[in-house]
Amino acid sequence: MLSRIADSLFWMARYMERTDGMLRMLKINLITALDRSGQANFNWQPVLKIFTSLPPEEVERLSLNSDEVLRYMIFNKENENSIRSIVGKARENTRGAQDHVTKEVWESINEFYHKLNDPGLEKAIARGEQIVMLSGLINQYLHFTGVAEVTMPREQGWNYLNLGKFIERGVITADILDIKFSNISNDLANPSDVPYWRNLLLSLNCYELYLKRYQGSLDGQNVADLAILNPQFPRSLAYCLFRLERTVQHLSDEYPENSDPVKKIIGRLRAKVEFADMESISGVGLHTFLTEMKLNFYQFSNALGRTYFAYN
Amino acid sequence: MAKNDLFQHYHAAPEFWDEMRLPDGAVRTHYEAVVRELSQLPADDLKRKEELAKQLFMNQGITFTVYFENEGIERIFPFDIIPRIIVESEWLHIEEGIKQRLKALNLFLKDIYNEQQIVKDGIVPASLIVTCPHFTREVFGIPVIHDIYVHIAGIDLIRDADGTYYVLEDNLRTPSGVSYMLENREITKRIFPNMLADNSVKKVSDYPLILGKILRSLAPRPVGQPVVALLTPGIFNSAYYEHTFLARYMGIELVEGRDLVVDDHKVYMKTTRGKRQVDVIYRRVDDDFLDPLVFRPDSALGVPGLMSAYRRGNVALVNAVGNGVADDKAIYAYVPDMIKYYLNEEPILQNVPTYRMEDIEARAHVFANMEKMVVKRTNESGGYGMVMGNKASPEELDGAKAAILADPRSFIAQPIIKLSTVPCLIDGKLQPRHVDLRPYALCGPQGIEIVPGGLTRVALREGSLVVNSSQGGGSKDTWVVG
Repeated sequence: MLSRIADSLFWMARYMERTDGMLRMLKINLITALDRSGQANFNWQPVLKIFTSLPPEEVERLSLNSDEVLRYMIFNKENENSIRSIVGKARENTRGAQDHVTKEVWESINEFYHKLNDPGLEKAIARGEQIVMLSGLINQYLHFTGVAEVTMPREQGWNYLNLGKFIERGVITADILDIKFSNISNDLANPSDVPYWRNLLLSLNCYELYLKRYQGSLDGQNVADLAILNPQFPRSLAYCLFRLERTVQHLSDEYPENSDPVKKIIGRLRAKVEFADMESISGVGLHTFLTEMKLNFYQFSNALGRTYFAYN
Repeated sequence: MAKNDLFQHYHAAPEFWDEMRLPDGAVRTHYEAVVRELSQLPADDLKRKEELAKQLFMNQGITFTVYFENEGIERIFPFDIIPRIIVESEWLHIEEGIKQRLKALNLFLKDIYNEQQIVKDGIVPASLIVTCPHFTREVFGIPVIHDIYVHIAGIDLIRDADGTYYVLEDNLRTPSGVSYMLENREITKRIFPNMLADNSVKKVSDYPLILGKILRSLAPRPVGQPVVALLTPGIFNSAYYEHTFLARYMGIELVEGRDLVVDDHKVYMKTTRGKRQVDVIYRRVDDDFLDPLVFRPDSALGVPGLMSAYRRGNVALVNAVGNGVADDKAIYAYVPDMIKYYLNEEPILQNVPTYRMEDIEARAHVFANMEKMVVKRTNESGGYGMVMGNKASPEELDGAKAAILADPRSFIAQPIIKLSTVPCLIDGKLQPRHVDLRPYALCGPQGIEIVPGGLTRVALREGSLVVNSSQGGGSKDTWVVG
C-alpha cells in the first residue's frame, strides 16, 4: 500500500473517532446541563478544554451558554476542531484514498459531510431540538463504523484504520480523565457529588457497565479503575492498547524487517497499563500517569509515521 | 391515455434533426417505448425521479467544486434523466468509422515520430507539424509497445440537419468523462429500471474490465502480475472523481506524482513496505506536467526522471506522450487524407468541413461569411477560445479576425453545424436541446473495442450549441438499442 494512502486512512480514522468522542460529550453534557438541580449553572469548561484550542477568556465567555457551545463546536467553520471541520478533513483524507476504502465507506462519510453542511441542520438548535440533532449525528457516525466493519477487507488498510481509531480513543479517554480529575485536584478519594461521576461515566459511555461491576457506590477510585485498567471496557486505556498491540503484530507479520521500533514502543506502553493497579497509579499520581500516557501515545504515533507513512 | 402532458408541449424546431420526432411530428420507432412509458408517469413522479438522481450523484461524491467568495461549493454535473436513444444500425456505422479513424491516427503518430513518410510524400505539410505546439521532439524515435499511441480515444460526434454523423474532434490525449457514461447508466437503473429492461439496452459496464486488460497487456517486464497505476494530479483536479472511479473498478493503484520515484531509469511507488516497481502508468496528467526535468520545470504534479524510464522502455505510459500532434484542430483537417494514405480506404465518418486560416482563399471565404462560422483555436479544448459567428457582437468578430491575421496557424473555422436535438426535462417540461456524442474507443494489442454508447453532452441553455460542461452543459444516459 502507498505510504500516502496509509497515512490518509490513519488520519481519517482518527478524525472519525474524535467526532464520536465529541458528539458523545456534547450530548451527555447537554443532558446533564438540563438535569441540574437549579442553583449552580452547568459549566462547559471541561469540554471546551478537551476539544478546542480557545484562549481561557473565550472558554470562560462560552462556558455557560449551551447553544453557543454547540454552534461553535459543531458548526463553526473557523474552528478547525469543529465537527464540521474534522468530518471535512476525514472526508478529504478518504477522498485521497478512495480506491482503498469500499464504496460504501466513502458514501457514508460523504453523506455525513453533506448532512453537516446542510444549512437546515443548525436551525435545530433554535428549534430546541439539540438532542435529537446530536442523536442523528451520532447515528450517522455509527452508520460509518458499521459499514466499515462489515465491508472493509481485513488487509493492510484495515490495520491503519485501527491504529488511528485506537490511538485517538486512548488519547480522548486519557484527556477526559485528566481534566475531570484535575477539577477535583486528582484526589481519588474525593467523595464528589453523584451527578459529577455519573456525567463522567456517561461521557465515557460506561455508566451501565460501572453500575453492574461496582454495584452502586460512585467513587473516583472505581471510575479510574474502570477507565484505565479494565480490559473489557472498549474505551479503557487497557483495551485500546490491547487492540493497538494486536494491530501492530498484524502489520509486522507482513513486514517484519522494519517494524521493530513500533513494536517496542507499543510493548512498553502496554506493559505500563497491564502491570499497573490503582495503588501504583496513585503512587506516581494520576495526573503524572495520564500525562505520561498521552506523551507515549504521541511517541507511538510518531514512530508509526517514520516507519510506515514517510513519503515526503 | 397519457397521465401527464409532457409530450404535448414538445416543439422541435424544423431546421434541426430531432432524434425523437420525425418532421411530421410522429415519434421515431426507437423512441416509441420510452415515450409510451414516460407518458404513463404522473408528473410528480418525474420530479421525484429527477430529485432522486441528484441525491444519488451528491451522496456518491460525484461532484466538482466551484469557488465562490472564497468558499468551495460542491456541484453536481447536471444530469438530464431522459435517456438519449441511438439505434443499433447507426451505432454499427459509428463503430466502424471510429475504428477506421483510430487505426489511421495510430499509424500517423508512429509515422510522425519515426519516418515521417506522410510528410515526405507531401500529404501533410511539414510546416503544419513543426508549428504544432504539441509536436513533441523529446519523444522522437522512442518505440512504444505494440505500436499503440492512442489507447483511449474520446472522439466527438455530432449530427447535422439531415441526421448525418460527423466527427467534430479527436481527443487523443487524456479524454475524460467516461465515468459519467458509466454512472449515468447506474442512475438510470435506479430511476427507470423497467424502461431500461424493456428496451434491451446494450450494456456499457464492461469498459473498466476491457481497459484494465489492455493496461496489463502493456507491461514491459515479463511478469505475471504487472503493477499498473493511475497517475492523477490529485484531489483538486476536476476529474478526480473519475480517477478514483476507474482505479477502483480496474483494481489498480491510484497514485500522485509524489508517490512515485525514479531510480536507475525505473519507476517505483513508495509503499508501506518500501519501493515497488511500476510497469504501466495510465496517466491523467498532461504531457507538459509529466516530468519537470524534460517538460515544465515548475510542475509539481509529475515525476522527475519519468521520461528517462519511458525512453528506456521500463515503463509504459497511456496514452503515449506527444499525441497532441494528432488531435490539433488544424491537423484534424487532414485525417480523411490520412485514412486514404495509410489504409487505402474511404473515410466512413466525415469531418466537419474545416478551413485552415493559413490558406488565403479559405480565409477570405471565412471572413466574408463570419456569421455562419465558428472560429476555434487549434490547441484549445473544453469550449475555450471559441467564437460563434451567429452569437458574437461585431466587435468580437473584428477581434477574432485580428487575432487570426496575427497568427493564422493557431485558428481554424468551421461552418456552424446544426446539432441535432433530443428531449430534455427542463422546468418540468420536455424541451428540445442540442447534443453531441462522445464514444470511448479502447485500442489494445487485440484490436479496437468500443462499448456501445458513450457520453451524450447536452447544451442545457435554450438555443445553445455549446455542450461543454464549462459552458453550461450537462449529460444524459445514452442507449444503444436494437
